[in-house]
Amino acid sequence: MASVAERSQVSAFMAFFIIMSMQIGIGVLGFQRIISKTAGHDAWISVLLAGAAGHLVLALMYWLLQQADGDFILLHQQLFGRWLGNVLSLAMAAYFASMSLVVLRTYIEVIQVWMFPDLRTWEFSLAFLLLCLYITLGGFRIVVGICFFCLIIPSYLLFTFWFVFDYTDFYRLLPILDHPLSNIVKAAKEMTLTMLGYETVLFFYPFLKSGKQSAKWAHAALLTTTLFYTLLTVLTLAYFSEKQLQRQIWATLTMWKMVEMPFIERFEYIGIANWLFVILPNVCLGLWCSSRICKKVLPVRQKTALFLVAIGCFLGTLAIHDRTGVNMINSILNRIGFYFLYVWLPCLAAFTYIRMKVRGKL
Amino acid sequence: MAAPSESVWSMLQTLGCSLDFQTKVYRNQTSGQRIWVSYIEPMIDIEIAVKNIFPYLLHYHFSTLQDLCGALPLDEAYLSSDPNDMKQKLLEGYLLIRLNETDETGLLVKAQKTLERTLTIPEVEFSVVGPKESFIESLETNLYLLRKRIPSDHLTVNMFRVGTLSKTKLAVVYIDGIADPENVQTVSQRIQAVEFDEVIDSSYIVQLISDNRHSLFPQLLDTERPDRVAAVLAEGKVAILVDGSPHALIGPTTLVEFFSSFEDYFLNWIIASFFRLIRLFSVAFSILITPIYVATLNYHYELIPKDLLGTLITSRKEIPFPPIVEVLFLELTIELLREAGARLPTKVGQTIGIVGGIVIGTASVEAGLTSNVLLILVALAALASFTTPVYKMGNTIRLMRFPFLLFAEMWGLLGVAFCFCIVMTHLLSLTSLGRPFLAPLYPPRWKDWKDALIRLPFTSQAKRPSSLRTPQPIRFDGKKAKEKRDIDE
Amino acid sequence: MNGKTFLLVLMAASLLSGCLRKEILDDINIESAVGFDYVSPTKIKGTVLIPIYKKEETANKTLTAVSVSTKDILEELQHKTPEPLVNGSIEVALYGKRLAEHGLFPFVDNFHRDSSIGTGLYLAVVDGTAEQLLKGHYSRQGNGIYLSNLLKHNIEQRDVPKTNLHLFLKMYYADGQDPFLPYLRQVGQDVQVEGIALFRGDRVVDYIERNNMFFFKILTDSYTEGTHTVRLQKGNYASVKNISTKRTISFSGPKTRPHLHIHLSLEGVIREHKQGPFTPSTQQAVQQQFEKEIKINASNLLRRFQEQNIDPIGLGEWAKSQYRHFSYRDFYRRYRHLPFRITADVRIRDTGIIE
Repeated sequence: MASVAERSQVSAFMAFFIIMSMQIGIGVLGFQRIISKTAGHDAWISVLLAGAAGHLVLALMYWLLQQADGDFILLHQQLFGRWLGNVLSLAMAAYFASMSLVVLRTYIEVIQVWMFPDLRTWEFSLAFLLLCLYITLGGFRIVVGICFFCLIIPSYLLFTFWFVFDYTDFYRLLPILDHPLSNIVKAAKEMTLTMLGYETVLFFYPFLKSGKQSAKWAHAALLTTTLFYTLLTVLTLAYFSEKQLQRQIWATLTMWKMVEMPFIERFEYIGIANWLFVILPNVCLGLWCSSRICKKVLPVRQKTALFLVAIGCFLGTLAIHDRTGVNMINSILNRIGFYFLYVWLPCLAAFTYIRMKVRGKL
Repeated sequence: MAAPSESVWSMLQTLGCSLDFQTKVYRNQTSGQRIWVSYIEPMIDIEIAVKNIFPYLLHYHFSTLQDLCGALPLDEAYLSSDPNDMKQKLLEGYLLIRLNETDETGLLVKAQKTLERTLTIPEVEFSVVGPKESFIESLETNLYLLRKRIPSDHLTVNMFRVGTLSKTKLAVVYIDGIADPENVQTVSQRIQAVEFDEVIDSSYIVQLISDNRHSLFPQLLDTERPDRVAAVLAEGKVAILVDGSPHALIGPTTLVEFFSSFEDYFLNWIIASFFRLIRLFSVAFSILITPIYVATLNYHYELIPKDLLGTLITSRKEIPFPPIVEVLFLELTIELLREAGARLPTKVGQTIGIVGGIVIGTASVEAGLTSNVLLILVALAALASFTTPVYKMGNTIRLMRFPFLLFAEMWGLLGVAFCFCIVMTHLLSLTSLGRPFLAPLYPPRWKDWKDALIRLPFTSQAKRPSSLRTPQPIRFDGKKAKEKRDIDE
Repeated sequence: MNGKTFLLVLMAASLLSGCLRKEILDDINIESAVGFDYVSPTKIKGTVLIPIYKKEETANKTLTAVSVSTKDILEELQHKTPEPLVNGSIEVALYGKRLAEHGLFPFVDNFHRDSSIGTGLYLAVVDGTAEQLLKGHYSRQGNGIYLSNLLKHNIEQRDVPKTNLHLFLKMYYADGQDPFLPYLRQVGQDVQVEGIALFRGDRVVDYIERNNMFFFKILTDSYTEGTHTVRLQKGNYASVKNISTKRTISFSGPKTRPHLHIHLSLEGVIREHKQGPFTPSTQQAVQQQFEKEIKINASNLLRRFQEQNIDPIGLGEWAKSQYRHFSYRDFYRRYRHLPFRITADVRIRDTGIIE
């Protein structure tokens, strides 16, 4: 494998920050409604279920990476040959680029609805992508630095949920497992988009100093995210009544409306502004992964690829005008993510396993 | 530069164009030998010349310069026939003694005048407790101050000369075996690569060897405290002393180091940590408070609690300007006061400060140009910016407010967050001597956090910061320092 | 490096082109309270209270308009003000009695939809018209703050159950609960909490009187700090300040024939005692008498709810949390005849600094 220079590598435990900051994104602001639509007050079980599934998939990814002894691009090449493998990798590049696009466009939508109705999409999108370019041009270490700080800095927002405790009725969560299992699983499937992000490990793996040891950190990140989501879901379910929640597009933001401190009220404005920190690593890492794949697969420099992907994202955000568009790209990405994680990856694993067995016999 | 073929004669001719260059002829009383003595008058210490040189020159019986050299009670005397060297020495305050006007060989005797101020207390980095001496403009004295504090054979000094005109002496100081050789090499290489004519001060060097020369953030710490330099040398950093500058440079440095006053180490660790946190808070306050004011008043009135709303509105009701103009007006006034105060003599400066602060502030509120709430905020922000122990960082912080203000005016709180991201990225990409500037925050080295945002007691500082990659990470035996004791023992 | 500088310049340029609509604090009229009244089946009258802040005190200014919807009213009122009216800082929304009895959901929904309105907003029903009440002059702080402080203090320390926009919507949207709101009345120069307005859906159907509010609060809210006076024999009475309440709602029996049991346990201190020292035996008597009163009054209230077929306590929600595959329809079909038992347990913790 083409090894990565040590000076651009990061410690294994940074995998924790990368994965967690990548997972927590725009979905957190409003995933509760979608999952409680099918699973009702048992939605938190769906979150745990989605987390458990995530752990399985993550373990699978690490197994695959160790088989390939490199990144996912190499694995694709090994399995499908150079040409087809590269095409598949390019599909992944498109996937990561669209992930950046979806996150950015949804965030702009949130700003437009909650803060500045007259914010022009192109204006913010351009400025934000330029910031992302500035970060990503600095290399992987800077991107990881952003992941690190953008997880640490907004973490104080957790304390604000203390204020909603006054308005929670935890009896609403009872009786546990009142919904049929199929509904709960279906809701877990809807969680995919919110959980998405750990698949980036497939590409940044060679950039970790001791890749194998990063597995425990990656799992720890996934576990922390799952617990955080579960806590948030439990709070939301106790805070709203069921049909009321169905009307909240961004339940987390609505909950912040209740926060009142002596010097500040209406925390959702602070929350939205702070969410910039949360989505910044999402977009940056998305751009980085996408351009990295292009560099490895196509005869282009990563810089060129990065500019092209960013321009693509920019045009993408312009093409989506309204709520329906935003919802559509969200659900499309959710579906793609689901098939990629839970269908394509197990298939690949099975394929690799069979190939290994056959080779072993030969 | 002089051509190598230049003779002593022509060199002396060139020097002779300047009227303070003298060549005088004396006659030895005993042998009758005529002696030509050349020197640059202002550079010569008359007392040395009269007491230690002329008695021998005029009364001692000698036939060659060699004899004379052996007889002089001064160490710094030697024969030379290299015109470049002669010129250099003459310029530094040597006497050139020749037996013949056309001789190409001469005796160089040091009679240098050394005028320097005495050691004073540190003014920029004053501390209430702890040592009270600071560096002065003489490199030798500064090195003496360091050697006195580190009487170790491992303390190594590398000498350089920089500047084509100034030929400033520059010393790179480090403790061999503790400092990372790579850092020493980086510093040496960069200093050797310096291309400049007149290096006046160490701040020239900072600007010439920094990693990112456009950054607002200083990437080498400058200090006037020998105790601070000694302490960081012991941690494994490298110091640069420049002749003629009372400020030493320390590298590789980190952002948090700029917010740690050296006094922190003289106080109990809990108090020191508290002060450090206060300082960090005040920096955040200083940068963010006026942008938040602008953002909130422009876009987010909902954020203001109902009891505060009345206060804010009444204070702003009469103001004819939008918040951003109001803020810029006040911020610039404060900057003006600071600049005027800094340029004037101390006493006048103080008066200007008081007059400006009180009169302009009160008058502008009464005239209805600014709101009194804002006046308080701006004054507090200015005050907070002066809590940074390193002067240069304080300047950076005051300047950084303005881009934040611009973004706040544009996008409210979102803009503030956006600008924060830009600054964060910039800081992430900054390096000091090739080492990350944000260490130990990022890349996170948890063990170094013992002396970053807070300062833990000395007993838990048994290891040197790992981000410095020192070859000798153990400072002292931490276990010995922490003795376990039972009750009543 | 050059690339990055270029990017920064580009970023600055793109920013400078942007311009958002500003709402500068002193160039807007910030509404602090609004009121809605019934005019005709299709029209409502809206009243907006704007505080005029001055150095010494806050003056009140009210504007009214009649229109079809709340947003229309706001638009209508914009014509009357020199500076734009904004509604992000509304503290209180009042609804006239007649409007409340005709259904007020449309006038709450607009608050719900508007992102600039906080969910901590207090809603209340007014005896008479909201316009009349808002036009009064109550305190130097301005009517908006006066009203919100009045409600806040009565919720936190007296016997008004917790209520605000969020809780109203929570109850409204819940299948197993009906909302309630505080009921205000203008009395001379003051406003007083007159009782609680009970809703069926979004229409007021009943009002709880002031002397029943204490019992209503301990039934609906798990925490209260109200004071209640217990009448003892021979004209003696003791005033008990409630410190903490615990409410347990449980159902027994099968899902088809649930049996409700509400247990209320209170802890209090003696605030006032008319005759003689407060001995352990009087303490016993006070506790028993208090328990008896709670049982009787709470049962009366519950029976009243059953007759009206409303459920402000949220029994449906509780029942749902205790039965699997619960059906609200079946529960409310039998709601009128739901058998219940109320038990109370009062403990006097101390008697003040004297016996």
